[in-house]
Amino acid sequence: MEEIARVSIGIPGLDRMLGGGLLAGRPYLVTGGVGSGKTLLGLSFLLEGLRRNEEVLLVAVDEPPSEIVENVREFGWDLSTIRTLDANPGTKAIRRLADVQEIKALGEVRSMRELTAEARRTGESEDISVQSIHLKLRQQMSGHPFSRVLVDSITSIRRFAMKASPDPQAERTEIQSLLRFLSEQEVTTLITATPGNPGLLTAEEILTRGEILLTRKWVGDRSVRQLKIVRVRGSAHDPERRPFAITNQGIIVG
Amino acid sequence: MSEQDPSAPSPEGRVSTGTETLDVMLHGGFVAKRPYLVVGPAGTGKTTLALQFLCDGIRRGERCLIVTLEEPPNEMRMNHRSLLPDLDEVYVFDAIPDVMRYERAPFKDIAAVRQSVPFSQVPMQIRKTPELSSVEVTFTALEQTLKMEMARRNFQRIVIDSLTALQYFCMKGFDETLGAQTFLRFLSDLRVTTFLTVEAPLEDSETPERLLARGEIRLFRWEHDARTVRAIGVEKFRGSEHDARLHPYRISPRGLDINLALTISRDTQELWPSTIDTARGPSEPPEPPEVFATSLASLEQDSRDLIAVGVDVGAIRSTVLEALAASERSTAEEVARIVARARGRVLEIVARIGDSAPPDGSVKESPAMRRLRARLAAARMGIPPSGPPDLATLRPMLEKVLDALEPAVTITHPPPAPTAVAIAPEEGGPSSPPVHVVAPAARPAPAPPMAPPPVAPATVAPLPEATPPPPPPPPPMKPPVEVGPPEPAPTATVRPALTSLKGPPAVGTAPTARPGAEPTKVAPVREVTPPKPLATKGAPPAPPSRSATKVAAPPARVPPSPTSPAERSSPPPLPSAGMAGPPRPSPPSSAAPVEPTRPAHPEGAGAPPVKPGVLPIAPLPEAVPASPPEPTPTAEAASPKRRRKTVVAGSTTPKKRASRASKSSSDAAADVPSVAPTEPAPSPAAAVAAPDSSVSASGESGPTATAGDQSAAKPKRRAPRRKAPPVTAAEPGPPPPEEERVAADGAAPPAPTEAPSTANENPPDGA
Repeated sequence: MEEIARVSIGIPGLDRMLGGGLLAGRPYLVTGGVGSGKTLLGLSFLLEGLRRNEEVLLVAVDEPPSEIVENVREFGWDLSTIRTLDANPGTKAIRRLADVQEIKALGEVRSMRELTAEARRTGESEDISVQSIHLKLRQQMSGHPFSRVLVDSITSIRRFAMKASPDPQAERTEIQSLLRFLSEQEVTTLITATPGNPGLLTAEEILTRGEILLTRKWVGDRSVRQLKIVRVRGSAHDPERRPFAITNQGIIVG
Repeated sequence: MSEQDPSAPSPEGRVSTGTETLDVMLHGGFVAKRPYLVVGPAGTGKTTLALQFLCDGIRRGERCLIVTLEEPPNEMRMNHRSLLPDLDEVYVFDAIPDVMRYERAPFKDIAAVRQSVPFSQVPMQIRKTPELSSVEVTFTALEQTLKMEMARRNFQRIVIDSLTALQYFCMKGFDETLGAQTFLRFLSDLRVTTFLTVEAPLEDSETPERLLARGEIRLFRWEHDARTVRAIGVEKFRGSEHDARLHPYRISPRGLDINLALTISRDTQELWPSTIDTARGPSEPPEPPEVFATSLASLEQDSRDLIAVGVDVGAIRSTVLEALAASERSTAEEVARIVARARGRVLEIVARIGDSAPPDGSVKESPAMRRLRARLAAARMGIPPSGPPDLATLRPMLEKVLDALEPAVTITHPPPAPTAVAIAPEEGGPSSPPVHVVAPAARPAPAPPMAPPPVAPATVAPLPEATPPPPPPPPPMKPPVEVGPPEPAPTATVRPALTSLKGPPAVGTAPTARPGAEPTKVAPVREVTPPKPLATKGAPPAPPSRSATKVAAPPARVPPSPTSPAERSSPPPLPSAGMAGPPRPSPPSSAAPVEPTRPAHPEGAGAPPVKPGVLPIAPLPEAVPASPPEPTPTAEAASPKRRRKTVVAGSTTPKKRASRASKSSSDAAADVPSVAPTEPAPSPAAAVAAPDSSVSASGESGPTATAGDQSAAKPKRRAPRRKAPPVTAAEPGPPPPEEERVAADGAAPPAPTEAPSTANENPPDGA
């Protein structure tokens, strides 16, 4: 059988660990705690695509795209040509929080909170639900043959877009459907996630074809970042934990 | 295996899992027509195991089906293309739900829309959700489908991959537990041998399906000692005996590669040798104490064999050191556990060597390799347990093991050896000796060690006597003791060293008759004593490792010390050196030679040189003389042991070195006196070595320090036991590498000197 094309992440050390890169057309998971470098890893993946003149798409749920652009400015990365699907629910939420504080001074916090909760519930059903993300993706993809997609992050999708569906069965089905959709698009996808309860298996853990784990621990007053390829279907890979650094050149895996 | 007629119950029939080693664990395979689970986290090889099971069926002419709920069939085929010829005959049923339609669209019954196809007919592209309708998979629909598939093709083996996905995505409206229960019952009624994969979260959890299946194979993945460890175990197997232990495995293109010679502790993830034949029946993991007793009995021998085979034993040594440390403050059980881990490492290494194609005929043929293979075979067959460990006898045994491993340290140097070797002989043969001398001097007054190695025999005798008197210098020596030769010696190199070390060695290089000689040599050393001062100055005699010890005296010549380092380095060369003939008589012996060589050189360097040379040689010879067999040596022991000890010191890991070095220095000092009388030479050498080590440490850092540590640690123990302060010797050994390096650099001579001096001055620092 012919070999599947490999997709470079744009981080030489990581590509080597993967045996050449990700297998084209499949969804992969990048897990790690807050500040572990998930988004940076995902952005280098997209930028590598830009360098190769590919169509790339960023689905920003965690942070507003404008903040992402600012955050990587010190790396000299130009994200301006990355098509972005702004699915960030936080923009409004943050404003509301600001309002809440103002109102708090007026002694109307409580009622406002209730209002806010009400507003969010109704607002979110329009702004961000898995369905809306799904439909927007479908629209985007029909016009552009994307070859790389970064979904940042699925944890936020679950948290912000699924409050209305407390049924775990329905939630899993929705995630399954979204991932299946991405698979059928034959687009190489990186999905970031924050590790949850280790005793609970999530739908994306089951359905993605591989997982890269980013960790960060403190040794004295220095933080040590480590990266590990937990699993990759259909590809030999380096199974050990490797240190990496975030430098002004981006992520470097040593 | 399952009969052709699925309806014919054959309780006694066994179905191969397609993985030979797993069949052994199951005592023959699955019991036909029952459902089994393989449970494990993602990425542990569940699907691979399942496909192996199906391909085995294909090879037996059976009809096999896999129902996939996670991995699209096209990707599954691509991912397991190594199974291809057989895989293409396996039928696959794509039970992955379509993309959900948010708009109203007609749902279709999966049984009506899809059916199984052989992998050979799976398109390369992923199946796309139809535009106008989508299939929602429910487990009731899946049951219907399976019934139809069974009616159509009468499958004999079925895999569901995975049950977890079925529960997660196909049981809308059903209770997951009840659904899984129903589904398993349904599969039992199909009367087919069924294999279901279950995704397990990393943390263990009891789930209903695990209670319902007739058997469960569990795959584990841990991170232990900063390495990823995978293990497989049969958690439950109704109606048959089985191997209940966990065994490590690797995933290879051929499937799961299970190592039955090792078991892994469920609690600590530590590797243990299998002590019971897996095929013999259910067994409990061996008790640590039992393993311990057999372990120590064979660990010493195995260590020598491994070194002889040229394997890097650094990990084993550090584990044994850990055990020694634990023996001072912990329980026998704890120590036994650590020793068992060392044993596990040995077996792991042997298994690995066995797997790899024989490097070269010699290795394969070597008696050491044959013994190791036998050991592995014995482990697989089960080793009879012996009595519980006794802390009182434990330490001496552990020290012996360490002695056996010391050579390894030397060996480490080997890598450099090539270059170093050349250098050593050339340059410094002489110089190196000096180093030794110094050390000796420092110690017991034995400085005499200086005595020319060549003279060895005769000289030695005298020296020893003399030695007693000369205790003075010891202090300086201590520092040297640190010796920390770098551990990293290349395997190959190691071998030679080992042989020489062992002394017995047939290999033996050379040597002059070391046996008796050593003592004599010692004597010379004393004579040399004068050098001690030098040593102190130059200090650095770090010298040469083991041989150094003996030779030590020669080193007396401080000047040489620099050289000595070089010489040490040369040790590795020893092999080649073996020749060293005159100056480096010692060289002859492979490992030993090195040290000797150094000494010789030193001797050569100064008037004393001669003596040194002699001394070195003498020691080596002894070692050599001894038959290759490591064990035997003991008797000759004293000398050999000393050497080893020295070596050990050197070998000790860098980390420990520092601390130990300090200790060792103190120890050494203590030892020296006592030792001096008995075996003056050794102690000197040790002293010398120490300098080197310190030097090396300064120069190199890690290794030296380690050596020192080890030496320190070992010395203490040894010292008590043996008067002779092998300790010193040990130190020397390790240093060589550094020296060698130095030599290579060309700086060798100077550097050594400096280093030595430093060492002497800063022994404490080194520590």
